Amino acid sequence: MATLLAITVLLPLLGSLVLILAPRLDRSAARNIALGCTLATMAFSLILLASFRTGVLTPQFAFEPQAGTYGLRWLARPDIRFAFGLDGLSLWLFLLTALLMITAVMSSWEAISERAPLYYAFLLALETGLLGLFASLDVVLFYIFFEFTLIPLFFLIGLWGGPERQRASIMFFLYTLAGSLLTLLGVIALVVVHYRYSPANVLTFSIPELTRGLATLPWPRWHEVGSWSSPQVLIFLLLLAGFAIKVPMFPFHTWLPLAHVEAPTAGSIILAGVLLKVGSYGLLRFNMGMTPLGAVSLFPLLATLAVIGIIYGALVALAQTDMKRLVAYSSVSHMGFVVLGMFALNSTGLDGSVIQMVNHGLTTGALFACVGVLYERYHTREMSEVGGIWNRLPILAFFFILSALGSAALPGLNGFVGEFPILVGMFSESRRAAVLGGTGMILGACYLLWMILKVVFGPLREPAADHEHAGDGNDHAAVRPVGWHEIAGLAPLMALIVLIGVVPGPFLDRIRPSSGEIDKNLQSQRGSSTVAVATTTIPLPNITAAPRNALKAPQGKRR
Amino acid sequence: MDPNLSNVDFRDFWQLAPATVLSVWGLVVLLADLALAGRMSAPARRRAIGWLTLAGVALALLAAAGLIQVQQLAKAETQGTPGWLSPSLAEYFSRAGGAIFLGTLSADLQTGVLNVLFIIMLGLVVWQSMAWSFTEDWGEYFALVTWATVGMMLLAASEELVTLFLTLETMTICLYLTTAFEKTRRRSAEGGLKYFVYGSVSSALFLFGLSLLYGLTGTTQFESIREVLASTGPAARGLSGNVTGATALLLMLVGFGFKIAAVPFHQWAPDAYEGAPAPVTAWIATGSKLASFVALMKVFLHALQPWSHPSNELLGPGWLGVIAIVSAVTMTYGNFAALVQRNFKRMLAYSSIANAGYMLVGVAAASVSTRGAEAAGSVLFYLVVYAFANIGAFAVAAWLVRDKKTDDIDDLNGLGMQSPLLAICILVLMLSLIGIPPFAGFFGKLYMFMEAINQQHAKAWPTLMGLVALGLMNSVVSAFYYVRVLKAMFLREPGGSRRLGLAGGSIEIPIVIGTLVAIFFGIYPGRLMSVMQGAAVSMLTTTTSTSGGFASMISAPSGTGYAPLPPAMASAPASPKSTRLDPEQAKKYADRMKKAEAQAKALASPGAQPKNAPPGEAKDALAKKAEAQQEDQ
Repeated sequence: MATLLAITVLLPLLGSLVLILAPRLDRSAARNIALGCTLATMAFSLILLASFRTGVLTPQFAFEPQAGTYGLRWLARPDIRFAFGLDGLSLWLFLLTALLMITAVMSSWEAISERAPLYYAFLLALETGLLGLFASLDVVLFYIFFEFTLIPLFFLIGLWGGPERQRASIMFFLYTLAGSLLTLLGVIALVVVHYRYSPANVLTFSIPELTRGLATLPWPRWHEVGSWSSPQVLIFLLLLAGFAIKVPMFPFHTWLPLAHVEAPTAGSIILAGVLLKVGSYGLLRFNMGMTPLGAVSLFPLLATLAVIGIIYGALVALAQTDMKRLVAYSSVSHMGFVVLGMFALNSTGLDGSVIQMVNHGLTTGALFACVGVLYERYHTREMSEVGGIWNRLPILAFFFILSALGSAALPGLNGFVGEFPILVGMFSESRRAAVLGGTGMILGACYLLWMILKVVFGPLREPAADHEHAGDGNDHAAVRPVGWHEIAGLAPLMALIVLIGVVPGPFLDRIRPSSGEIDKNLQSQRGSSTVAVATTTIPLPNITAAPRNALKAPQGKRR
Repeated sequence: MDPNLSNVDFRDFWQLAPATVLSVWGLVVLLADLALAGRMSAPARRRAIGWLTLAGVALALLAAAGLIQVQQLAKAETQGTPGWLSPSLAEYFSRAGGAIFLGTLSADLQTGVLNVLFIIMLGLVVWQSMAWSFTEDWGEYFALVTWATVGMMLLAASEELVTLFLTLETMTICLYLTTAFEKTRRRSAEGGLKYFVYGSVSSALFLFGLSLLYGLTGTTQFESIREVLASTGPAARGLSGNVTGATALLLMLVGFGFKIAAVPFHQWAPDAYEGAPAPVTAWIATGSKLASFVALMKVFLHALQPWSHPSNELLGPGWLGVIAIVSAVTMTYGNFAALVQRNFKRMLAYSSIANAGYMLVGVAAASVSTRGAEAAGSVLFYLVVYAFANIGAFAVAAWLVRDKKTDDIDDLNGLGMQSPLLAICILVLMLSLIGIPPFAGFFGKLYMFMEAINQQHAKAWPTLMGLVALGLMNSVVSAFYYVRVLKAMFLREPGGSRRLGLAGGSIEIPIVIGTLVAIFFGIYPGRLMSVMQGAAVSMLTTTTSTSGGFASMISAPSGTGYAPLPPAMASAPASPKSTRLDPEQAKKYADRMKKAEAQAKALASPGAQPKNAPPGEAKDALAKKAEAQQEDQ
């Protein structure tokens, strides 16, 4: 199984190399190769999913798991390993990546005609980057994939993007690079702290080992109170810098709208669907998992930022007329929920947060794909110019409505399964934050339904015939119906939107052990540093185990 | 002649085989050029002489590799000596190692590895030079480049101050000349002149610093200098109150700072880089930098290690604080100045300044770390990776100049569409220079910064952490200007009247090799790293066993009793100059010093008597010591 995981990760890269090196591929050959690669990757991922054992904490499908270390030796000194493995936190994100890549290839089917082999090569390279990132069990390997994702996206946006693509790609590249280098510093500091203060002085880069070791470590305290001056808090902030930009959290979100709007449809799908999750995944894995004291000390600040992000993103989304821009700002809002759930600092919130990452990937990916389908036909994304597509493209309209409702957290669809536990978890922590975050749900329903109202329903409105594309048929009766590839790309997402909404149990069960471990570390930090928590600004209700369990129990088998 | 001095063992010349081959080959090239001058046109001569030089490079490479092989064979005792080696040579090589020529040069793993690297890089530079005709005097050009390499090889091998200075000058004088070699361009002459004027002034200051150091320690050998400085005990570490020592140190820093282009001694670099023909620039930016850094590490990390910092304070008087500040300023200034450059070579010049700043972080780390050799090895690793990436980058500059006559970044517009494979190679080089994984530049930075953070010294952590943080922030800044290159290549349409022609082998090969190095050592950095760490170990450790057994004789100071001034003496009006003492007196003096120090230490250490002892007592002890010293004199 370990080999299968490595093959799954590296297969798209192989496809990418084939696409670059094969001479004179035409468009259809290129997209067939790309589709074949993504489908094979998906199939392998499904095999992995089928053999994933529920209720196990340790990473699965890793090389040499019995020796206590994971992975094949890559460098001897320092001991950096080629280690892959999946656990509850990464499993669903791994599958989400594999799935959304199919959607991305499908949505580029007709849209990309220029330099298609290169385009698909970058897309596949990006897939390897993302899969590897989620599967890495070694911090250096993680960081390598983390940075590697920048390069294909830089080109996808910069070469195939919209009119302002140059600015967008460079801004995206530099903005995320700036943060991720600080993250690198934090990661190195973690490794060094572990080396210095662990009893056996082990220099390890292994993520599970570091998580385990750092939880029991006597962290050095520069001063007595474990707050700002503690190295753990400092490292937390360093790590946060890169991840907060990726998520993006409120003050660091400025790169996102530009990049999303300028990126080609597939780029937007991947960017919103998976790349933003890299940030929240990193927050969970490193910030929550390895520096729990930092999380406990700083959670009021982060919860506040998350709430601001939720409301700010929603309000700005309300004001948009461009559909893509609207969905982009809705991402800021929805990712705010993911962060809010984490910093509820209890297992309910954490579970919700992890599942919400997947949900947001599905719904936002689907929304971007729908907008892309529309744009291909009408060459506009202005809501005022397109309307009543129910009459013209009923299948697309159905997809559009379903994904918007899922995103708006309609009970019975997936968004609810994520956002409700987040709010419940937060409610036991800080009522104010939960209530304020809850308004974001209402606002979310407003802007999404408004978009649906304008675009899907009402009398048919179509932009005047586009003279540039007169050759495509300026008669609107000839608007191309939704093609098989568009249906094939979107249908699985729709199925999952409903499935997660109706039976969330199997999904949550696989997350639980890992999120429970993080929760355990957080609670133990909490017990030891009540001083730091007591000085925080948001008033805290008493935290007892009973209400948390009470909340957790029904959540597994909701509906 | 001093009867104590033994004769030079002439078998030592075998150890110099690569350098000898190159020196002789420079003459061969000159003569060949003379013979061909009348018969061939300049471009034909360029090719002929270029190939001839490459043959010499291959020969030197063979010599260097062979030398390493012979050294390894002779050392491996189990195998016995190979039959083709004459008995006397076999005996020599099995004993050899460490220093040769009365301890002036080292001949060990470090020298061997660096020689091979220098020769390979020289090959790339020579190859690159054959791309286009920037001069007509090909014989002189190739001979000078070759001799500059000899200077670099010996500089990296030098084990004492005079050799260091001579080889440094050999290297730079050749480089001054080649910088001004493109006579048709005024920029070239301007760059050469600036390089020369700055260079000679800094050499003079450097020499002054060396002479002061000799005056203070009475020896020019690195190892002996270290022993003399260290013999004064740990309490006197650093340079507190030692004005002469501080002057010597700063003057030497001027010399090295000039060679590695560290702020504030960098002003020559942009002009010289821009003016010089691209291959020469490549050689200044890589070979000369690599050699100078090795020499700098030998002098500072080995010879002057006791002056690194006072034992109680990291950034107190001592070279570590100075290096830390220079490093911070250098990387920040270099990167920010590079941001506004439009000229590709000028941008690379500032990036090379910034890179010197990063590497100084590694040097600073190596001096406090308990893992000094590993840290120095990571600096060497970084240097090698940086050098190959830069040779590739300057090949791009050569391409631009050849086909467009200008070398602005905008001249790269649309290269991605025109020749995608080379553009991708350049992309890899730029990403490696930014330090993005999985390319070698990333591991260079990772190793170096990890060694910097991994410190036992309690006070070192915040300081070095700060430097590393600054370095990483600077990497972001550097991304801005490297990305501009990428933007020009991939996101812009080709414009302008002149188009880039086909690159041709002489430009492709350096770019491709630079790329392969960046990719290969990005995926598989372990091997190179361990080689570099091995080299660093032999670079920084004592070279005891020398051929001919001079080490014991040489490492004894030649009769000058030296001790840094005790703190109490700092304010004394007449600072005593180091004078000649006979050995007996020196020994007595040293004993007394040690005793006084032990006393002072007992008083000063907070564990023994925390704050109970009146502060005057320690001073009294020091004053007594000072008196004793004056009595001795």
